[in-house]
Amino acid sequence: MKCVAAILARNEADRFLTECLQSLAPHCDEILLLDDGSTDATREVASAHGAQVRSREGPPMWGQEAPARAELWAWGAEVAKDGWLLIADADQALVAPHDDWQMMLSSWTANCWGFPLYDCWDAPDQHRSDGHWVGHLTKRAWLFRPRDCPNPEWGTRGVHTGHCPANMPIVGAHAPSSVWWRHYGWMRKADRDEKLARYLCCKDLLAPNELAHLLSVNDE
Amino acid sequence: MIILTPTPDARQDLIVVGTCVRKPPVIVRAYLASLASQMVPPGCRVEYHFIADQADPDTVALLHAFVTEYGGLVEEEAAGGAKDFDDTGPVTHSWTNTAMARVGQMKNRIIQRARDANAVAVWFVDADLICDDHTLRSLWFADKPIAHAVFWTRWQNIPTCPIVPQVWLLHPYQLQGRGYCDEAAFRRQLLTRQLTRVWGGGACCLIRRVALDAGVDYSYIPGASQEGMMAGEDRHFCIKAEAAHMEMYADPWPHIYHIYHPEQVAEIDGQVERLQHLRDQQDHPSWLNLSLKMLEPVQTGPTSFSHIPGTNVRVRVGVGDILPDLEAQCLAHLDGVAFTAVVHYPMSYVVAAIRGQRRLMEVTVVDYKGPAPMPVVEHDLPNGIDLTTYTGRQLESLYG
Repeated sequence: MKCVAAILARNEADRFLTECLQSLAPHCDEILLLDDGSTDATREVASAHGAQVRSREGPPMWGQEAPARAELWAWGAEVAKDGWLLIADADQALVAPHDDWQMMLSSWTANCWGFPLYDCWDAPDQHRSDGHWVGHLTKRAWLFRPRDCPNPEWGTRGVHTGHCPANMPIVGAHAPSSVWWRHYGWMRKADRDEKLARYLCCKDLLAPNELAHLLSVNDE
Repeated sequence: MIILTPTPDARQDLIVVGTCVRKPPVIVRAYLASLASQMVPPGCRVEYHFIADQADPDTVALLHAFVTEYGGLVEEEAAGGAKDFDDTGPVTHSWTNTAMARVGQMKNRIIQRARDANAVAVWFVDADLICDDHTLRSLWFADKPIAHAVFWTRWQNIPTCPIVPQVWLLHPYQLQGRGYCDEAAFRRQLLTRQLTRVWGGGACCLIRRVALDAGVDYSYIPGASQEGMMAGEDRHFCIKAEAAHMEMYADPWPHIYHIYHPEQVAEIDGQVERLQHLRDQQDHPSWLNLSLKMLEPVQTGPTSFSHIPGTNVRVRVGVGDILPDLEAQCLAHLDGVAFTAVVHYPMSYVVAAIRGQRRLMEVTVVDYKGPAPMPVVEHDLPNGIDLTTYTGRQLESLYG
């Protein structure tokens, strides 16, 4: 069964885009990168790793994420056709044994697979696990079968819009425990400071628990 | 406060293995060898914590040498004056309440150190047990707050004393009740290696962090009886576990030899050899210990789906305990590594919601075994009668 990865990215060339693309390559037939107005070499790095690259028009997605998500989904669904669509971020690396991943793609029942995300902290082999840092405890949906949502509708939130349409009729499966994301987004101190500042500019868009999670970045 | 944890590919969760040791060197040597042979569960590491309690100097030396090689700690308890227990009697052992209370305090020290080291579990193994090499792995995959490995013992060295398991249903040491119509039903459940809910046990138990965090320990409960069969730190441990809603299960999968009577010392070498070859001697396993987790959901209504919790099952091969295609895939993955299996449920399957469907399942073959009976139990089989299913009263009638 065909598997297509789709990434929404902006200025990721010097961060973890290479790790992301290298981790996806063994598992995906095609990789799509929708570029959100990068001013660095994001497009070139993606192309060099064999990804299809498309630049989106209009205002940057930050603070108004839904249109960008909808555009990414529409492109991915068009390429995936009857197959699977993996929505990835450019600061994540997929960890998955090949056999287990192929088994997931063979599912007759599920139209969505969930697996955990480990927020790496200071080093790639350790993650944060206190308080609000619970991505590793939940199997969030990342891999979808877009044919089951022929008329996608998206929420209106400016951030954390979700990786799939709000009306996706999810029949979710839990991936084998060998399948997970390594999330580099919070790993380096400089990245944390930059990301925190970016979120605080639109903190009115965040739910209370999201804000508490964000503020805990500065915990000692 | 920030808490950092290794990612799954770097994780090494700590299991503390320990107990109080006072047995002679000939027993302790075999005990330590069986600990060293244990298959450590995936993503885990092991540290040892022994407390030498009025032990022979040679025993203490053995313990020190062991932790030097494998990691851990030996504490030497100061001799407490008069000897308050006797484990060399010709019929049975004799313990005083003070000795049992002291053992409880020492076990609590092991628990406290494990908590301080952020251990995920403590495995208490009495020093007169020889465990097969998959004991810890089986207890771990049982995935229960408290799991007791079952061994069988004839507590009094007389023929009319029944062979009994070191787990029970009601205090003190009752092997019937809790829904079992008679003692034989409970014994049959254990002899067929099924993971079984119990309300009492001791001597070889894996206690998970969730139970330690709930405050379950070996302190005596004020006001609770310490007389007769209620004496003993493990009785009070079990009552605390029940009060804290920490479920206890008996795991009769491992083969464990209990060196209880002095003449059993002569059997140690033979038993060690038998346990070591338990798995080698078989080309075709008779029993499988499986960890199963259905990955895809089951439809429970027109638009609703539910996930079935993972489970640990023990099945006989070739008799239809599990679906034939699942059994075939398990037999092809005896290396103990988790794999994803495809299972086709026939139209005749017992669960209607899944008939005629296909599901993916994460499967681990925790262990496999031949048809050999458990140690001690086997002693009675050549007589043609499985005495383990007989009650004390029935044995009285048999032997007059």
